[in-house]
Amino acid sequence: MAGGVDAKRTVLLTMLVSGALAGLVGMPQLLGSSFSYGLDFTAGLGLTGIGVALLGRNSPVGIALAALLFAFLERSSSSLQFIDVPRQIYVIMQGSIVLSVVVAYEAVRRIGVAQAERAVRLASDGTAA
Amino acid sequence: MTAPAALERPQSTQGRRRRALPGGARGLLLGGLGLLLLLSFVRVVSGADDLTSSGTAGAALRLAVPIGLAGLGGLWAERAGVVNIGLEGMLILGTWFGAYAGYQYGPWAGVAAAVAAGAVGGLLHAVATVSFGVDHVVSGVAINLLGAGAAQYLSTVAYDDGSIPGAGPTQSAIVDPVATVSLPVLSSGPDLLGRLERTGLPVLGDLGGLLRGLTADVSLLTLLAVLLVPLSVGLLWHTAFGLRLRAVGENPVAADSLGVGVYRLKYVAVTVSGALAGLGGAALVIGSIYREGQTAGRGFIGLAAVIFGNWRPGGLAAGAGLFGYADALQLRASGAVRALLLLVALLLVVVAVRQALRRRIPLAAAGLLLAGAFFLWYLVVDEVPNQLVGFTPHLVTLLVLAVASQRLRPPAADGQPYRRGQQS
Repeated sequence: MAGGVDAKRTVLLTMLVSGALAGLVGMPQLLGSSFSYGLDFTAGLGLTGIGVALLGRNSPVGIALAALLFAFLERSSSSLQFIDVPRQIYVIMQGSIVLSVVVAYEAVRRIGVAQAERAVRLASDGTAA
Repeated sequence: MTAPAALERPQSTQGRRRRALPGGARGLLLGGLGLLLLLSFVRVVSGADDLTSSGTAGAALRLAVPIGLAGLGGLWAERAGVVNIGLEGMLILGTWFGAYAGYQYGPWAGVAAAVAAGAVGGLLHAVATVSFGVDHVVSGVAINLLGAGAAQYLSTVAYDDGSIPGAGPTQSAIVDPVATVSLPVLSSGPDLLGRLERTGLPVLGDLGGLLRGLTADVSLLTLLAVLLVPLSVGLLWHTAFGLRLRAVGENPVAADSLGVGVYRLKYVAVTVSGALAGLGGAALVIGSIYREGQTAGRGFIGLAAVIFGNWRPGGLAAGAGLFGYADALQLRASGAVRALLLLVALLLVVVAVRQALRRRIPLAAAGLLLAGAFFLWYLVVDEVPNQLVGFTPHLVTLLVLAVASQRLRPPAADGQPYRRGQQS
């Protein structure tokens, strides 16, 4: 209850909102193009969604951009077949993008921390001398 | 006066931890016996002979193997403090390479290739999580994407030209099975267990059927997988290596301060984890084919089995067996599924009685109420939809988590990144 925030209640609420949002996933397909329910709806989208959220660093704007990127990769992959590359390679591209981007985030963060530490050390050296 | 008291306390906590293994073995035996009695009773009452037939038991074992191996992989990684969501991807890598090498060079080459492919996936996860300190879930999700994508891509490259008969962009050719063995006398030749099964006697007939299913025509790969469970127990709980590995998962800072190579052990654990998942993939394709999407979330179910089993190999094997049994029943004898409702009702009564003995009256009442509901369901319907059975194991896992989550104890530093020299 630190700071007056009810942790349990907040978790419950966020899970409800999260589930409600996820429940909307099939809507564009259902109300926009197929107009009837099929068992093949949202195949694997939930897991891809986790990847998208992570790629967007859990910020709403970033997630929108990441979703655009993933959708672009998937849709444009069919043009790869004109040059005799199997289009399935787009999944590999998605996976390597997520992996390399998070590794890059981490590397950048570490460099930032190291620089800040060096700055502090220099400053303290200056006062000591 | 204070010194003996101070000495006593650590001893008593150690005693409580130590008790888990022998007590667990006895509990397992008693639980198994109770389950056998319940199963036998339900079979006799409902007349669903498939509930304990050797066919169902054999299928359950075969279906439990990939889940159990994925689970063992999860166990190794999590004991060293690395959450391995990427098991599914490693399993897929194992299926593809197992089927490809298995068709070209024979089933055991396929097994080796599957293990190697899974290990490469594990190594990738180790590089990302251990060396770069990336969030374990992120890396795992990426590896799942990579594994699925690589298998689809490689299938198109390798099989689409039609050079291998029977193979196409979404499936491979048939891989030869490995040899099978049976227990001499008991389940082959005179087939004593088979005879016992055919008598249809209560309890004895059920025991015969279940044991015969578990011992007749067992593929060597299945045998290997089953042996890996006690092997993991021995390695992780009875060697210095295992102690260090688990210490890394509990408190890496303390382990490092005592000279344990934290990074090295994490690398070893996660690579072994991937190799085990790859072996699970091999178990799916050897004697069968690689098909796109055939793993169907078994990697995640394996993780559920780890949690179900409280991060211990024995419990994990029980969880995998449960998933395999439900799968087998649904595949082979959907008619027997209705009898499961009765079994669930009886199990709930047992749970309720145990809770009542511990004076947890609300829980006991809830259990009894649920048992009544299931019994009513059993009486009312003639047939349970197959799809419902498909997620029975998941439901059971959720129930176990809800009821037992207070007593589940994951490794203390599970999922936390560790960097040398930083308190994290």
